[in-house]
Amino acid sequence: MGPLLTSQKKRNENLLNLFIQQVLNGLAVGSAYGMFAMSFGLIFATMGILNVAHGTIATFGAIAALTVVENWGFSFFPALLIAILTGAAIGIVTDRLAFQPLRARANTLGYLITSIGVWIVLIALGETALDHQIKTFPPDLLSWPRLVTTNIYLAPGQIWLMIIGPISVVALYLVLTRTPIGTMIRAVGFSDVWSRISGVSSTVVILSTVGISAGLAGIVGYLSSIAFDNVSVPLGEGLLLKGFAAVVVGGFGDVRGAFLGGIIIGVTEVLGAQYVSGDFRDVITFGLLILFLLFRPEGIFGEIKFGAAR
Amino acid sequence: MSQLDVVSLTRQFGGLTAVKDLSFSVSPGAIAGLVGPNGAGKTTVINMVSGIDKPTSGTISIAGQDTSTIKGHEFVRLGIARTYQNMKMFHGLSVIDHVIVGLDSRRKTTFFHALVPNPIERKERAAMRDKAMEFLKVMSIDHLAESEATTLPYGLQRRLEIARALATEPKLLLLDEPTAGMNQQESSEVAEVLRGLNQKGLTLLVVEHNIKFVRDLCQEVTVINFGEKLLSGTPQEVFNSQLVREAYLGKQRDERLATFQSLRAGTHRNINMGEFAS
Amino acid sequence: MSQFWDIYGITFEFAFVLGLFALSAFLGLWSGVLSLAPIAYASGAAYVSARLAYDKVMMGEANYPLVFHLFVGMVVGGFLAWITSFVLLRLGSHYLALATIALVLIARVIALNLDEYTGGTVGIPVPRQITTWHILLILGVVSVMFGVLRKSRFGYSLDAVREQPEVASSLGINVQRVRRYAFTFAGVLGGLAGVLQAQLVQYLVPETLYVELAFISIASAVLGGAYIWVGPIVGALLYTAIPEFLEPFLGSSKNVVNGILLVIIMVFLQRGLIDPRQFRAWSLKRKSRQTKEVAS
Repeated sequence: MGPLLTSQKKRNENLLNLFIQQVLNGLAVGSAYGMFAMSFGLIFATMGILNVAHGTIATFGAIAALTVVENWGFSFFPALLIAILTGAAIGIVTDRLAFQPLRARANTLGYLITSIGVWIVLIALGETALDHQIKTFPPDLLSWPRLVTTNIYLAPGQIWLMIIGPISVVALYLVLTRTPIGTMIRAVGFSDVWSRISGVSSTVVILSTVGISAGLAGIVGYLSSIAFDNVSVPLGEGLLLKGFAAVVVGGFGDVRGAFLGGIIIGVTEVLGAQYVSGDFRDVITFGLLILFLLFRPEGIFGEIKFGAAR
Repeated sequence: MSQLDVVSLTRQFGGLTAVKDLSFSVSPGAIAGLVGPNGAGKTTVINMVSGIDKPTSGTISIAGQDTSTIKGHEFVRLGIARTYQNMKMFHGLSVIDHVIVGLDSRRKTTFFHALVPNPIERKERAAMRDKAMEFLKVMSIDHLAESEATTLPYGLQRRLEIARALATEPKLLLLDEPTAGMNQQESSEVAEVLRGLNQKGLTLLVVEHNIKFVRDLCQEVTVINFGEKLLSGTPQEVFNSQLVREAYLGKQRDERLATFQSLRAGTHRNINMGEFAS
Repeated sequence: MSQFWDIYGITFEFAFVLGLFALSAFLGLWSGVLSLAPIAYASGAAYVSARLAYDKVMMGEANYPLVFHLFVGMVVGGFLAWITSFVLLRLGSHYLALATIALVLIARVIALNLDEYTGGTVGIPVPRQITTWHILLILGVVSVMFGVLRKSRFGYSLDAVREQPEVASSLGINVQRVRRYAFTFAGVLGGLAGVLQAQLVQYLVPETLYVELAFISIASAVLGGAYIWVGPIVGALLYTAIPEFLEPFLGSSKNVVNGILLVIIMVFLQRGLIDPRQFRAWSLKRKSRQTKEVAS
């Protein structure tokens, strides 16, 4: 009886460890999806821009970071800063060239089309920059923190995703709800007229929104390219598609909802692959999506009226 | 039987009560007015009567028929048509096309007639154009049939909007602020047009805050404020009533003008509701 | 000429089919709905048609005639659109757009996982039956349909629903039904185009009819002008032709130029290249000039 019991106990322990490992993996992936969904949802909710180039902006965050790491030996944090700045810069340039000219007659359709144009351009540039290859960061870029026990292993990239993800959602939520600039960002969403009355330059507000959103995309691109060992154009496209899903599940009117949507998508994806079938992993994710469309069509937190739906 | 019967109508938006326990009726063939300052809930009432919005409680009956189970697009069949304060033209459509859209409920063709060229469709199309032209003639804008509607001057757009509503062959036409943004000249032209329609048997309910317009045009008037009824009766009764004059129009005759102006601006808010309830 | 056709024939074939996709996207826009869903229906339709052909060929029998495949594509596309419209058309405009993208993603996952029927990631070969003339004929018939549609009762309803849904409703137009019809018809067109696209590519994988094509079809529709059916067709032709003709001069950077052109056209011509309003203004001007000449 004794040895049998021990082995049974051991097996249970292993199963538990595996479960914990997969939940952690799911949370790391989910953090990436969630952060991306949040940044994508922010400009959609406030300005009605469904930016299909947003995933490629994330890719560029990773490309820029990789460039400075490889060429000038930047370490993790300075490279993170470069990723943020690159994302924000591309976001702002995109806004000035492709979205601002449409703003007087703002409508979601026009923005969608110009963003498709930008997307085509950025993909072409990204593929050229990467020489159509999948690259990786040097392994010595990030060696801490690493979580290693006998049964559980978390890579530094995953851990940073899990740290920065929640920090960014809390920070963004506080910025949006507690600070003057956040109020203004939401006000531009509510009405352009309001911001004109209050005398705040809508340009400043728009640029802040775009900067925050695209900068965040840069962070996601950088961190997930480390965590998944993959700097490539498809990385950003994958984020974009999962971001769509996360935003449908979580709703785009509320950053918390979008983030939570990402976490849900990430965790179900990983656990589904482990316990149901590797082939079926996307089925569970998208089955979830269908359920949300059927029964909770405005996302977890519902659609908070940000922008005018036009 | 009344053309329109509104009984204890209430509409709440979240915590805000836009219309509260409002009852009034419109007799067939009348020109009725619904008067009140901006924000009094007039448009909310007209939205519910035209089926765009549903009441929180209370009933609306049109020619004796209860409308609570009737869908928005089916109100046309009860003989209800309306115009809008901001007119809501179809961007990019010509003048005559607006009226043809209004004729939709009278067309017999279906979606499948729309897919292949066929004589039934072609015949109907020609008939509809002729029909639409008649309505444009009624409103004397037939010479503008092919112009783009949104490029017309304000007064003409108003006429077109009425033509579009008339195309549904209503028995009761609801007009939401038909003189908004118009000068004296244009307002009296609109009044003339409406009187002509009324003489042909159309019942009208005019929502306005232009009191002169209502006084000259309407036979029965209901005054509301803060979503509640203050008074109803003939224009004489209403506008000469001590109650309304004292509380609503101001005690001194000289003050009236000022009050009218504040009514126009929608800033008139000093009515003690308690007095009327008692 | 024949040399030109040898080089560019296939490009034109793709352009015409893209025209059909753009028309299906345009139908959504015409009813005031931004929907990328037709691509999902196209994918479903193409798989059903491809599978039917595959089974026949595997059995050593002759494939069904082309007309049959087109019919199957339209029925499957229309049916899927009709079923899903009950869920999708309940949603608000922003959410609807996202949900239709989600539907395209879902279609791919379904195709991947029904690998018994679809071949999963490996895909399924599609025997080509169509010729350029078939495609042109189909596009011609569809164009005529759109021409009739535009001046029909339904076309007027669509215009009204797109511009002022509330007014349309108070004029007795059942907005929801008009949208459902348009949505379903877009599915029929999508299904048709899906079958054609699969036959052009001659091989069907889950990514053949996917998000990229959805974006490109809506971009073509808006680029050409989403206010009259000619617009999407012109948009699709230009969208395919421009990079092709740029290729000799620009090589691989043609996509960059293509994207920039798309942005520029949208910025300067927000209603697209073909704008019926412009035509009306011209024809009115010409008429008034003629009457003046007659008068003088």
